[in-house]
Amino acid sequence: MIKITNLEKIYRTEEVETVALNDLSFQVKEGEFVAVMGPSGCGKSTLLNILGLLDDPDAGSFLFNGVEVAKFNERKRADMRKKNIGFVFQSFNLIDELTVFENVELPLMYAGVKKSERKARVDEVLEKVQIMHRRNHFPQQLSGGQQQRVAVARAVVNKPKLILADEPTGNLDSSNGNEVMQMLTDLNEAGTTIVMVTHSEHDARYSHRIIRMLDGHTVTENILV
Amino acid sequence: MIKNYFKTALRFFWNNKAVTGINILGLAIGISAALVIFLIIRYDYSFDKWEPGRERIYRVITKLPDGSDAGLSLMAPPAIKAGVTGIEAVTHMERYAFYKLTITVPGDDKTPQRIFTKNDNVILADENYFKIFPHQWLAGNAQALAQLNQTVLTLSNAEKYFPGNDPGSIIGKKIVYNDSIVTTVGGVIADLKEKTDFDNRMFVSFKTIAETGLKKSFLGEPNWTNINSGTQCIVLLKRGTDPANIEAQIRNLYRAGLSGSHSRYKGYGGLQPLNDIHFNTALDGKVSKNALRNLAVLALLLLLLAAINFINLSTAQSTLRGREIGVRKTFGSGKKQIVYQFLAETFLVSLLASVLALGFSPFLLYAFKEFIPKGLEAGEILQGNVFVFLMVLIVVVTLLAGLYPSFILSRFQPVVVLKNKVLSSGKSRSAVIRQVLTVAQFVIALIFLVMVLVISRQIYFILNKDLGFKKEAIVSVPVPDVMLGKKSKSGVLVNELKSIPGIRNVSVSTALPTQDGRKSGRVFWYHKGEKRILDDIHFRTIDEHYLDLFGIQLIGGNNIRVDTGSKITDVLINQTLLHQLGFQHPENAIGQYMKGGPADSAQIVGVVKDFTTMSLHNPVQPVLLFANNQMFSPVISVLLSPDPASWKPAVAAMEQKFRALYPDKEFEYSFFDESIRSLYETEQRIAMLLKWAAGLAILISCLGLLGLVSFMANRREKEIGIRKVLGASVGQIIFLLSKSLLLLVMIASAIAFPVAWYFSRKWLEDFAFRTNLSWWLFLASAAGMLAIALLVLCLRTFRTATANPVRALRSE
Ligand SMILES: Nc1ncnc2c1ncn2[C@@H]1O[C@H](COP(=O)(O)OP(=O)(O)OP(=O)(O)O)[C@@H](O)[C@H]1O
Ligand SMILES: [Mg+2]
Repeated sequence: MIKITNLEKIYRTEEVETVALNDLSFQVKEGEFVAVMGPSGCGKSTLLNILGLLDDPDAGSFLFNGVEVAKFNERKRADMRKKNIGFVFQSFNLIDELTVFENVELPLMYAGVKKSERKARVDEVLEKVQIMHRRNHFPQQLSGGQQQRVAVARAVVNKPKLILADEPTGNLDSSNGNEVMQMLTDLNEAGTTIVMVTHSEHDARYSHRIIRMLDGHTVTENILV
Repeated sequence: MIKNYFKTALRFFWNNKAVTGINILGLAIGISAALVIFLIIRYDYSFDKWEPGRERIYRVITKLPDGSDAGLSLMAPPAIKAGVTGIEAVTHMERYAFYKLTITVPGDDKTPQRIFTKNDNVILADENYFKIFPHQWLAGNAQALAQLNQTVLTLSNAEKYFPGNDPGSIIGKKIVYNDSIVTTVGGVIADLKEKTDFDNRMFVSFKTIAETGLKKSFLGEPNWTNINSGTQCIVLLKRGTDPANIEAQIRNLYRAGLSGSHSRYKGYGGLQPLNDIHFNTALDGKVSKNALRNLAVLALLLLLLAAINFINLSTAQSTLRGREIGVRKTFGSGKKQIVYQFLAETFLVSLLASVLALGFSPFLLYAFKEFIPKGLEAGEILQGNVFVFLMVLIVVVTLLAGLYPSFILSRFQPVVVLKNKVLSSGKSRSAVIRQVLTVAQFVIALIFLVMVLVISRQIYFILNKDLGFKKEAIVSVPVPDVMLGKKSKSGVLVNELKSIPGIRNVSVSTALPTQDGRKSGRVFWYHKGEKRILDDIHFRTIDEHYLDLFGIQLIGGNNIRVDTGSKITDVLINQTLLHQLGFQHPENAIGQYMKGGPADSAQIVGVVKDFTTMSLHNPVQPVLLFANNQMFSPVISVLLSPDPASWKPAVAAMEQKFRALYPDKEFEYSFFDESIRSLYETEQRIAMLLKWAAGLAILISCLGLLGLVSFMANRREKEIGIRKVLGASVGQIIFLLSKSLLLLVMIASAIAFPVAWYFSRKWLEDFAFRTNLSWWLFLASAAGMLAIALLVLCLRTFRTATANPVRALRSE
């Protein structure tokens, strides 16, 4: 599903050049659950942003389902992203002005799904993440764990083929964290490909394979399954 | 989707009430100003849109050689009727034939005779009038005006003069004008509902005057050079006729008529389109298109100021929206959708502002009341195309205010905003643009402020300038008859007035020292056996008390003596005329002979010091003050005791004496200083308008400033907390927050001053007597602006500066 070769990303500011990704290559197959680990600043989030088509690489190739997307313009990337990819962030990133229901509904709206269907699908995922009773609350009225469950619901509601999660448990205590990890595992078992960045060896153990990075480069790959 | 946008917007507004409130309030002020100005403009453009074939209707006017437009000679209408081809209908009417008209409706055995002294909109007209201005006939027909001694009146007038009678039964009843012209009612027409400058409501057949002995006394000598603004000739061209062709024909008529007369009076005929009549203030137009355009510019500026607020606050706030936009983009939103979303949001703000604006409009109507025509009522706010205009306005405001911020917002990159880092907006491009826009606001507000100061100062100057005569405690009363000597009614009145306690002095004259408009003409001066022509000399016919009453100073010779028996009239000249005659010393002029104006022969007996003869827009004019031997429609001026408390009883006593002598006439009086003040009504209106404009501009800008400052204070709370922990004082913090503002005001001043200077000078050029543009006016405006801005700033920053730093730091 994902095949990157010799990927490079360099951040340039006035004084310094930071090489965030350096000659990075790996593949992710459909249905895989991959964890990305490495010390802070090694380029994990940068990688995830590129995989999520939020950002473009400076060099290298990125095949998504066999399509070269590295040079896509913003419109095409947005379109591709909307159809195929769901995101979960460490800091949840729910919109404060929208209710739980509306937050989850958002990707469906941008995908142009009809209202009646939207309602059914949102309710279905909210049920699945067990947050149905809070559907009309605003994010600030929820605990961190609940917020992240909403975020997961939002990531999956459009039935994406790929879910990218950047430290999804980073802001959660262990029991809430485990719950989220279980949800991701369930999704993966249902066929969704997952790439997750984490600092926790415990969480990484839920995955099939761990990619370890250092200074924008893969150092090892541990296959767990 | 739209619903989702609105929902997000409303919740965001709710969470940011202060800024949203400021945005809505600012826009509401701008929109209501625009709304009221729209009402005024729409009102003025709705005149005379009802006449069939109105694009073929023209008024014949005289264009004078100096480029000005004037009324018409009595000779023109009949000549046009007879000699111009290509015209479908011509009507001749006389507007001011009945000055101070008394109307009598004779009684019969059942009802007593009734007398009316207030009679407006009475004209002389021929039967063709209704071919051009068709009215609905309730009784009779237009042919009435083709006969002698006929009156046609509107239904409302019919009800006024013949209450309780239906239109049909009024036909044939008698109406008497000025106790002398007996007419019969020949027709009743419906009142016009449409707006028109031809609001004539009572028509006396033209023949009644023109074909009887009354002609000369009513209309004066028919003469091609004798032009009267009351004489009106309206033509309806045949379909397909080129107006230029008609104009050429009329010009030929003038050429033929004028051959042999002095070139100075050689005007030539011209056509004024119907749709120009309301706007041509050089003639009798009510308002110039220029004035309306200035109002429209004003409305636009106020809207612009409000839009700037919105732009500034939205872009400043955009950091708060960054995360939301990042999320939306991550989950599928494109750039376009973000733009739409924020335009929808701006639309919502504009909509709310418009609703509020409707509520403000009555106040704005009050603010602009000097500019609001009498016929325009507050009720019109809720009518018809006002809503269309509002919708258009909302769209315009939405685009004006919303486009830029929505582009800024749509450019946010999700990767950047989702990092949870606060966006640096200190030196970003939108921050620079915010400063530019704030400067623009200050510039506009400053220009208004300077103009207000300049105009107010000039008005103060002209109202307090030494005019060369006294103007306090002087009341003048127009006398409704021709005065001939002391035995005439008005002569009796003068004597009676003198006996009223509290009246110090009484004088009869044809004009007060300062007069609105010209009362001038040609005189001949016999000098060294030669007859010399002096044109455009101003006349006043006065009595021996005039100089004393008005405090006009005699600088040579003697006061005039009134001797109606004498063949040679005494006359005084002013310094300006003395110099025009080529003399330096009064003695040289004394004894010279003059002919013209009201005197067949006059001899200069004295010279008076110059006094202001017209409004101060004009220089002092050359003046001849003739001794009274005959006056036409004179004015009695009365000097009251200086104590204002005594004025009311004195005026009441005057009225009593007046009524005893003229039972059927209206008693009118005016205080001289007020009449002088009213010469500058336009200026005072402009000053008033500008004060409001400046006030609103400053208010809107301050609102914006307040929003920006609170936003910045919020963002810098932590920084300020740290500085305070490190020992900064409240004063230092306020200075820290306001020093950038100081710079902005300085930049704005540098831009605003040349512009304000240019406009002020242009405005002042209209005055022959004017104040100078002192530098302190500009400095005061800048200082005022800065003071207001600092006040706003302190209001908000004081709280931040005095807040407990621990709280700010802990909240991280
Ligand atoms: N917008 C940017 N501009 C400049 N440098 C950046 C930018 N974003 C990231 N970097 C740099 O790129 C490198 C990789 O950053 P990245 O966020 O991918 O690290 P990370 O592995 O996700 O770290 P962490 O575990 O702390 O989240 C870092 O050195 C970072 O400082
Ligand atoms: Mg990271």
